[in-house]
Parts: sequence; C-alpha cells; structure tokens
Amino acid sequence: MSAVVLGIETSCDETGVGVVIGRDLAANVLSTSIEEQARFGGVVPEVASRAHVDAIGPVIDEACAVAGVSLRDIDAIAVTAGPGLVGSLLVGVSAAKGLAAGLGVDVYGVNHLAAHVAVDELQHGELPDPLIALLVSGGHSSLLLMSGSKVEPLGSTLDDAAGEAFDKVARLIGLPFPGGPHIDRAAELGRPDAVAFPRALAHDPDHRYDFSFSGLKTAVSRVVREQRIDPADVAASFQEAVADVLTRKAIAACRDHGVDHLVLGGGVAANSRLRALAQDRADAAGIHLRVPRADLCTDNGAMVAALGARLIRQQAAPTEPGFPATSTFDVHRVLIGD
Amino acid sequence: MILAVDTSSAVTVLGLGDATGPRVRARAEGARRHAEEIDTLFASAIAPALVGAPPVRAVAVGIGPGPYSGLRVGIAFGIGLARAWGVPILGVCSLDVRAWQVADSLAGSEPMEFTVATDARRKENYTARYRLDGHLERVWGPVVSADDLPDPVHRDVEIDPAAAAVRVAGFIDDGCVPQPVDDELAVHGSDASTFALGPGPLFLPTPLYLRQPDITIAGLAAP
Repeated sequence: MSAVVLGIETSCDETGVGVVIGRDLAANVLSTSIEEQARFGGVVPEVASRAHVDAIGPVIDEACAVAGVSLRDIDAIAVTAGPGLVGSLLVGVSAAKGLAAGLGVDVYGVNHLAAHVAVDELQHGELPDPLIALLVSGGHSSLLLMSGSKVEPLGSTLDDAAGEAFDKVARLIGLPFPGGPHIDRAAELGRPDAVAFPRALAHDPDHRYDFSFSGLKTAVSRVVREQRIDPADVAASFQEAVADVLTRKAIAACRDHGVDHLVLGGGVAANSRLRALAQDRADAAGIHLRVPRADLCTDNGAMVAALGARLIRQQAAPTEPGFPATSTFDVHRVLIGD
Repeated sequence: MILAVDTSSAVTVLGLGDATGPRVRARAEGARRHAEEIDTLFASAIAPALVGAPPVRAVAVGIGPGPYSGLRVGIAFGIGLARAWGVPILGVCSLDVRAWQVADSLAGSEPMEFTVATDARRKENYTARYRLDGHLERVWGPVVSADDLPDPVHRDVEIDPAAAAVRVAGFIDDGCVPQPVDDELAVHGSDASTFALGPGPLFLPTPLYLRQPDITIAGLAAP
C-alpha cells in the first residue's frame, strides 16, 4: 500500500504543504508573502517568518481537504530542514514536529535542494540513476551529480544566485519583484542578441561547473545607465546570457561524467528560455532532459512530500527527535543528521 | 487535560494539567535551541504521561511577547499538535502566565499592584502591570519599553507549564472563549507598532511581537 506523506516547505517566503500518495500528487497548496515582500524589493526574513506562522495551520488544513485525506490518514511527515532562512525554516520544522508528535508518525527532515529534484517523480515517474541536477532559484545555483543515495556537488554560484540576478536586473529596468516572471514576459518582446552580455566562467577550467552572476548584473547596470536600449532587449539579452551559461555547464557536466539524464529544478527552471535552450542542447547532445512543470519548479510542499515518499520507498530511517533547522544544509546529504 | 507550551524565553517548557491539578512539567534551556528541544521534551516527558491519561482537550501556547524566532517555535509546534489531535489551540499571553504564578505566590496578601517583565533585548523590557485584589487583572500592557518599571517588579519569572495548564483548564470550564489579537488601535511598541490585547485570559494563537520587523533583504546562504 502506498504511503501517504505530507510535506512542509517554509525555507523562504512560500508556505507550502503538499500531500503525495506513493508517487501521485494529491495536493500542493501554497501561501505566499510575495506581495508584502514586493514592497521591499526582496525577501525580508522577519516578514517571511511572520507570514509562515500565520499561514501554516490553514495551509495544512487546505492541503488535506484538497487531497481528500484527514490527518489521521498521514503515514509520515517530511519537512525542509534546510538550507534556507532559519527563521522561516523553524516554523515549518516546528509545525512538522508537532504534527508528527501528535499523530505518532515518523518525520523526515530533508534537504531543500534534493526535494527540488525528487519532485520530478510526480510528473515523470521514477528518477533515473545516475543523474545531473541543475538547481537554480533565488537562493541557489548548483550542479549536482546524484547517484543512489549519494549527492556530489559539482559546482555552485560564487556570488549571486541566478534568481537573485533576475530580481536585481528586474529592478534595474523598472520591473517589479520577483524579477523572474517579469523578465521572462518582457523578454518575449526583445532581441536576445541586442546586447552581448558577459558569460562569466564560461570557459574557466578552474570553475568548470561554477557560476557567477554578479558581473552580469553590473554589466546590465552599466548598459542601462549609459545606453538607450529598450528594456525588453535588455531583458532578453540578460536572460539569454543566464540561460546560455547554465545550460552550457549542465550539458558539460553530463558529458564529463557520462550521465545521460539531466533534471532541472528550482524557481528559475520555470523560465521559458532556460527550458527551451536546455531542451535544444540536451537533444543535440543525446541527453534526456526532465523539467517539472512550472508550479512544481518553484518552492512548494509537494516536492518535500515527494522526497519523503522516495525516502520511505528506499527504507531510509526517519529523522530522530531533536533535529534542527539549518541555513547551511550539507549538500552531500538528503536527510538532516544522516 | 490541557497541554501547555511556552517558548517566549530562553527556556522551552511543556506541561500537562487539568482542573484537578498539575500533572507533568518538562523544561530545557537554550535560547537558540527551542526547535531541537521541543520534540525531545515531548517524546521523553509528555508522550509517556499521556498513556492512560484523560484525553487532551486543548493545546495552550504562550504567544509572548518574546524573542520572535523562539516564540514561533512553540506556537507552530502547538498548531501541529492541535491539528493532529483535532483539539482547539489557544493562546495565552506569556506575561499573564507569569503574573498568574506571582499571584499564586501572593495568595492572601493585601490588594496590590505588581509589574512583570522579561528581557526584550535592545535595553528594553517586555512588561505588563497587574492588580491583585481577590482576582487578578492586567492594568496595562503588554508593552515593550525602555522606561523604568514601577515597583514591585517580578523579572524573568520562569513559566511553570503545568500550572498554566491548570489555569487554562479552569478558564475553559468557566466558559472563556479565545479573543482575537487586534493589530491596530493602540501603541504598544517602542517603535510605535500598534496592537490591542483584550483582558483575556485566552486568545487566538497570534504572536505578540510588539515591534515592526527589521527590514533587511535576505541573502540566502549558498549550499
């Protein structure tokens, strides 16, 4: 019989609760403080934490209602234990501990990044093994080699995360927070070759799988300040530069490691140009690309539930009481305390 | 049976009690360890005590005021527990709970007023003033303030969660219903933040922050 897993995600500004039954998505409910955060042009940790504690109870209720289950039907709880904003994480971890204690079920404190990969199982079935994962969001830009239960970090951003760069560039060209979807829409009307923005570390052998986006942001700032260029062209050219570097390195990682499966995850994976370019380059390289649909790419509870369900299938031991929420989760690990 | 939880100070406390008296109390110190301690205390002290005990009727959580992150741990844990058990979650002002204990220690004394205070950092106090005259009444507060406090001051009283559970059981039996915490109307924070807290004693589980959030834009740690 398939396990019913409730997943809780509160690592940033989204309060997400999902229910997964086996590999089937039963509910994915989200409450976001994004409108409140937009007033500040970015995520304010304390504002996010306050929103989480207000939302967590109702979101749990709604997720169960959507899934058509009662909490008594839940076999296990999975919760993002890190990485993320610690004040936000604490709300989800504490609620998960309370639920698990009250229901008498196991709790799995999981790695947010691994959950971004596991969510693909809900749409495309069992994950291939091994795989390369490209995880790009407002907080992370990472290339991971995942094999069995092992996670090997190949590279990450040396400065800004890709999503952070989208937010900052959006601000530079007068678009609101969060920048990703607004730049994506603006870029539809622009020319991706209007400005030849730099591709940092694209050919640096010492940082073959690392990223750097702060120089790109500075270049956009200079262009916006010094040249009269249509913001749509800036958006399209910036987006092209980001998508180019991300996909180039992801394909290189697959080739170098002899891995023919690439999974994209994280909020930036919802970007239409990144998805299209990744598909083109994967096809050309004979690599199978898997990208979850957009609502599963951004932070959500279903991805945490999906990872919890996967861990149960793998007969992983649940997390012992006393586990913390941590802003810097060891990327090698899927479970906290593992 | 009532389960009481409070994480409004550096001490995490959980306790059980009902109208017949206190049953179990558990505590652990650590200003940044509430999340680590709370489920450990539950597993080691509360869960065994619930075996064969009357069912829990409600979960009561301290809604502060207190340092924010720790405060939210107790409230979120209580939200999870209450939902799992299908029972109501009630908020109690953590300064009121301390005042109940002070009042118990002063039972039989002449009518008097006293102040309860805890450390609010930034050289300020979370504080409220109470009058004890047969029954206990909050005169003003809670507020966050750097002002001198009127005597006598009972500072940093450690919450007895089992005694709190007994009190809450009594309030429920008396028909008290939880009141909302209004986030407007009256200035209570040193940064001019506003909210209004009725006399209580029971509230919805809304944290009493008493200050606006500090605005710093997040930069997530790289994995």
